[in-house]
Amino acid sequence: MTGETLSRRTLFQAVGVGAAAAALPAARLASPSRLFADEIPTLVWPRLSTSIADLPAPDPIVHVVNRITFGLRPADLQRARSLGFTGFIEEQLVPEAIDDSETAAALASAFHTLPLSAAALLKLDKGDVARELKAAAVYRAVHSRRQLYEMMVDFWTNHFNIYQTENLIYFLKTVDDREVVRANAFGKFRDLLGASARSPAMLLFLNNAENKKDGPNENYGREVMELHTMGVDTGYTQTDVQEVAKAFTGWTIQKATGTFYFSAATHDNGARTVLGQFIPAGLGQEHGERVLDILAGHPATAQHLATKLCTRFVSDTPPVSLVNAAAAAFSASGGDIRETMRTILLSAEFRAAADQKFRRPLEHVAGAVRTLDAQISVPDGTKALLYVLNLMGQTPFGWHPPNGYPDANGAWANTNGLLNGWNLGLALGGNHLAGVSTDLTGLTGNLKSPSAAILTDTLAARLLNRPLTAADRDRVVQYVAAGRPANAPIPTLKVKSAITGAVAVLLDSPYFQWR
Amino acid sequence: MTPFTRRNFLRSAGLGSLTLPAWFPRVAFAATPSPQRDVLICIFQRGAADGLNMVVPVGDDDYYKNRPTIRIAQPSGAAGAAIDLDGFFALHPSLAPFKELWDDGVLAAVQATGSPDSTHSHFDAMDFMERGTPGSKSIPTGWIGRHLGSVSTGNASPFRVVGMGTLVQASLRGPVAATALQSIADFHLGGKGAQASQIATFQAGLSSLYADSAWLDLQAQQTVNAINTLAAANPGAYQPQNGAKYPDTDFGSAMMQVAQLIKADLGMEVACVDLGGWDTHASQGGATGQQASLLAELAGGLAAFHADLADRMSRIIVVTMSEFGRRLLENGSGGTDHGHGNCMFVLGGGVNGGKVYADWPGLAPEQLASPGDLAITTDYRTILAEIVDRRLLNSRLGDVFPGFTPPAYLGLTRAA
Repeated sequence: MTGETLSRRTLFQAVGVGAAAAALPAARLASPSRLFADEIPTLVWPRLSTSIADLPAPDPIVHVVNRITFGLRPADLQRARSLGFTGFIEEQLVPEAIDDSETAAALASAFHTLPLSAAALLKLDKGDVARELKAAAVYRAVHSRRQLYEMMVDFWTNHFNIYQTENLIYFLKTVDDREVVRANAFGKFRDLLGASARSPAMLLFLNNAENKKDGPNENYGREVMELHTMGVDTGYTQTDVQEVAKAFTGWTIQKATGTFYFSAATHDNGARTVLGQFIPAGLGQEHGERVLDILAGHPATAQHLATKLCTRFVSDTPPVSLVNAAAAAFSASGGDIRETMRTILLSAEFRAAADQKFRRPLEHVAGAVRTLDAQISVPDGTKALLYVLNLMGQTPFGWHPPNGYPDANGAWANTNGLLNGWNLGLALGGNHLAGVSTDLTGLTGNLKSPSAAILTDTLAARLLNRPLTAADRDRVVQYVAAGRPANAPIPTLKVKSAITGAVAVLLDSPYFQWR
Repeated sequence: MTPFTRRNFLRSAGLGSLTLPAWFPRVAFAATPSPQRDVLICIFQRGAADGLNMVVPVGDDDYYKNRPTIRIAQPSGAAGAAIDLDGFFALHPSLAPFKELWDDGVLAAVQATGSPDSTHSHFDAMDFMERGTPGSKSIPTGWIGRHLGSVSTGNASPFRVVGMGTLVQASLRGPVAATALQSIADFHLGGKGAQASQIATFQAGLSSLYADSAWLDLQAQQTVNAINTLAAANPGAYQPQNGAKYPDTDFGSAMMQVAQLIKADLGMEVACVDLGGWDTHASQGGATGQQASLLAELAGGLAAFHADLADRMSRIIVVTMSEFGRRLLENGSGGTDHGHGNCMFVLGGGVNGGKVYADWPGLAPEQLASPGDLAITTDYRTILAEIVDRRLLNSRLGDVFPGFTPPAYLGLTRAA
């Protein structure tokens, strides 16, 4: 055994990793049911959010901005402070009334593929098309003033997940993004579902484009129930899957134009029974629409969507009371997404849910940039941020299975995410990320000759917008002071590097990981 | 495809100037090293791989009747024909790299195995399989996590258990924190200019903010430990040995890095590696095509791993699994829909290889599981229990697979 081993083991014990391993001696494992059910609750995904109680809570305005935007951009925080908690939510619930012309103009000048038809896109380089859509997603998350709308777009993008890296999908996801997700993100769910069912990118991704009466393909038939509407284990059977698949036979695409096409010749025009409901023979394309009506109106769908929305916007383990209220709002409004969201966001449960969500990579990356009020250029800035997203594991449209990126704290709070998030903080603190520029001294209000203590307090207030524990504040001050007295002015030549270090350590701290 | 390379990013982000320390002696982590215990490498084929076209039942006429276009031809030595194993089963031609391992007796296959729960949902099936509790979600941990929690190896290495990729596999959930790792070479803090020279101070300052024992603190401590451990071990540029050629893919890279970590003696006991893309509802292909490419990647990766690790394979066991198999009858789009029974491979020096372990249920209509799937005659936990017991030297099977008592072992492995 080397000295290296000893010192490392000492370190483990000091910081608690060794203790965690050692705290589960064999003797305690004699009763596995106790161990598994109760004794390690904070080590499993579903209950991870309970482990953050130690952080002093932010004020409600910070909470609401943190939760319905991609991060605390100062202008939005100021807007929320002037409108109040409810006023800010109401404003964000009506994105069409928010002037976002600056973002629209920037997108129009930077990306030429976003508005193009499928036929026009198919003539271009697929890599260019795919890159522009990814870059636009990041740009919008950072710069759009319609932040809640962009979060809904992100939600539905994952709910109706389509992996961008497959043949024609490279081109057609751009159309799906525009005409399915963005067009219906705050509309009626049935419209969104129908648009998705007819979306060429979805038809290809879940193979319905190849679903024919002679040997039906069950992929879409299953996932439209399991993922898009009712949710798994809600009472549909394998026979229902096969009936739904048959109802959608013939829903395909014209490959030359990349558009939806109903092929009567390959449609099974027989009568169907889906979830006990009879659909008569001879309806052609309408068979599929009838199935969507049944699914969109099923109580399990309201419950499934309410659970997912509450998980996304409130907590990994949302209160049952809130899920039920959201499901009721969904049903009562005829599947109106905006009304469902209004119920969730104006609830007492939402107000009480500060810090319950761990930042997923997109919220981390966009959130850090927004918090710094940094400007990103296209393509350099979006490229650099997409690179970080790739390292952290959340490239836009980059999740292969049809269920979308996981929305559970425990999935993302791991060594890979932390490491790459920390490196992002270092790069941003140093203003080293190409195409992303931050006015670092401006962050301090251009303090003259600050001490480590004052610099820490100023930047913590500016970047975290929340109190630190006294112990954590001391730790940051000590780091920033770099051996100098905490209250002595930092030498002029060292101020810039002190700001750089403080920005990085605050963005990399536990306080920034939660929202 | 992607315009970004690490080097470009480093240049633009300025993260490239951190110099790694010179060679350090390797660090031994296990207080009481157990040379007897195998390192477990668990490969998950996500998306439900078609096992009937992997270990092909060429002796069963019903296989050919149901697969008019995606069938694998009977062994004949011709290109694209299956590779005979025992007269009844044969390998998909893209699994050719497995044949040598087979002949060497280090690779075995089990056919008609899987998780007994009848779900046809990918996500439920993966969840059940990784928990190790088919049909139940009441136990939140994974089977490997419970295995690690129920053996006391005195091993505090941050590389004791590694999940390759950006997310930790669900099978690893449990009391021993796993390290999620994409790239050994990139696993360090980076900075530019003054930042780089003060990175140790930064790391110490940052670490001080993660000193509690909540989940995130533990993950942060694990991250810092992993950074320090790699800096000390300095695995450097890796050169696979014995002519091993890993596929130039994420899977190949992950397998190579697992080999690198094992050779660095950093205390690895378990690694999980995923290979996705198996959900072949359409255009699956037969001897060539979509599934064939994935099989070539799988076999190429495992064969390279085996060659690279050479003598160390005597203390390594690799097991493959997928959430379920695929329907016997191919569909009208040249693919297969979700099925049930499947095959698994087990590779390692302690494996009684060169044999297909199968209580073959047959493929006639009355022999299939609803709605037309290969039945399961061997619960996948029987295979894993044998590995845990005989090769990982953990007899607490009730902890690892609660509520499951394996029938007699298949004899896939020799006692370690």
